[in-house]
Amino acid sequence: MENILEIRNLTKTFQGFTLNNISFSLPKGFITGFIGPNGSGKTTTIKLIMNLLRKDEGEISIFGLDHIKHESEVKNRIGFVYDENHYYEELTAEQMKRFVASAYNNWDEEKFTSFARKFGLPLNKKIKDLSRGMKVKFSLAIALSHDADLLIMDEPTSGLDPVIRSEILDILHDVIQDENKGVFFSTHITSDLDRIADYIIMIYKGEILFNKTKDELIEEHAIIKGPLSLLDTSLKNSLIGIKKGKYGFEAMAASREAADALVKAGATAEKPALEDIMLFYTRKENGNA
Amino acid sequence: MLNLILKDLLIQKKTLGFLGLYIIIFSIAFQSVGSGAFTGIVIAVTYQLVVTASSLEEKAGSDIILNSLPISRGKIVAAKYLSVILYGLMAVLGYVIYSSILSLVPISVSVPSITPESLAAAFAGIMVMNSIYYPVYFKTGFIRARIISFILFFAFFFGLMTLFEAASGKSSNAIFQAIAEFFNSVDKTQFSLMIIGGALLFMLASFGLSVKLYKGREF
Repeated sequence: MENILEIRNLTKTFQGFTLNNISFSLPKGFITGFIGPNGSGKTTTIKLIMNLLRKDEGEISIFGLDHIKHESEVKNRIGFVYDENHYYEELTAEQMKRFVASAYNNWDEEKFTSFARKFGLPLNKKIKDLSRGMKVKFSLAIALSHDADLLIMDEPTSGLDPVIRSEILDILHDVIQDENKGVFFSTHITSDLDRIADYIIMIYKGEILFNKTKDELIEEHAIIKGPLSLLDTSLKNSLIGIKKGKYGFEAMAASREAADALVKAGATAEKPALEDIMLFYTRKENGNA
Repeated sequence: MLNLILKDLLIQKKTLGFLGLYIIIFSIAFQSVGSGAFTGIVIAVTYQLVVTASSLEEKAGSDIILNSLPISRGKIVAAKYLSVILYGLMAVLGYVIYSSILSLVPISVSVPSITPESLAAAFAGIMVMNSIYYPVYFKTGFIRARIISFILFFAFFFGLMTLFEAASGKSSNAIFQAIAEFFNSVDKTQFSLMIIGGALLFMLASFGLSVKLYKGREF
């Protein structure tokens, strides 16, 4: 399987935070969800990919090209949507679009017009007068109108109502029908990824905890509830994020075998959502076990 | 590159609307300075446009967008330096239009004419002033650089106008008289070309430094 993005041993240190030697890759033709609580390193990773931050160590290769040596070529093929609006508030959406369009080699005006119509974008309105949802849709229309092969999205759905979020997810689903494209979708709203993601990478405190297909992840994890007595056995070692109550406990089993063994021993197992997996992994790290 | 420059004009449409007003106010306020008033006006207008563009960039956090687009950091920096020349030319054009209009209407406001020295001083002034400002701006962003720009503006605005006053030879101050003597002894065209050439070299060196600093900047 060909990778659209490869990150190897990437390290970046700030005061009080280190993105610690992370490595992962994104295959073509899939949506990869990048999850983790706020402050885990999601935005730092994206800024490093976009060369908005300088890496301390490591390699970033996009479309097989070094992201700094071939910066312009690579950025021509990337569409981006960030969590905040950084477009000029005083310009109208039309003026902003004209400026951005001039930067790309493959700008497709017809495509943009079609997205603008589909999203109901008021192009004559100033950016500052657009709602948060419209600003995200505008960014998305821009990102999708220059034939980008990789779409990088940093928390695009945070602060949006469920209707707009759903519309955006549908669009991403359409985008990925082209098997040469890839989407890297960072979010802490994991329910969005339950719907559309193929792969899930979880980052926490600057380290990658796992990088698997969503189905594999959900298949091998289970929410376990059982009596406290089970925690006195060796089965406890296969549990993550144990939360003890007065009469029982709740935890996450990180393998099917562990879940089966616990069920045999008297516990119950439930299929987790991505949010459960993220919460149990971070709970473990929080030391609440 | 052209689009980056046009974008800077577009985002400060409101300020451009006040450009005429600045020219009128400054030319009335500094009539007594003679052709130095023109130099002061060009410096003031350019300062206003550079600062407004910088503050709007900062407000939008536009470095994130600009550096996510396939635009090299060198081009982003070059566009800012070229804008300075454009702003200067716009100020000259505005001044010419204003003085032409005044010559047609019966108002007793004298508008100092543009001399080769005042034109050279104006452009050398804006080039040197912004060549000091931009490396700081590209290294630190507008919030920290604005103090520098403010100090530079006052130093160049009043400094150059004082120099013109001194060169006019009307003052009895010994230093001013020495300056007047110096200006009378040199070939004015040659001197103007020399200061423009010097300012251009200074600007080129500053551009190189700004590119280096901006390439190292993180957002």
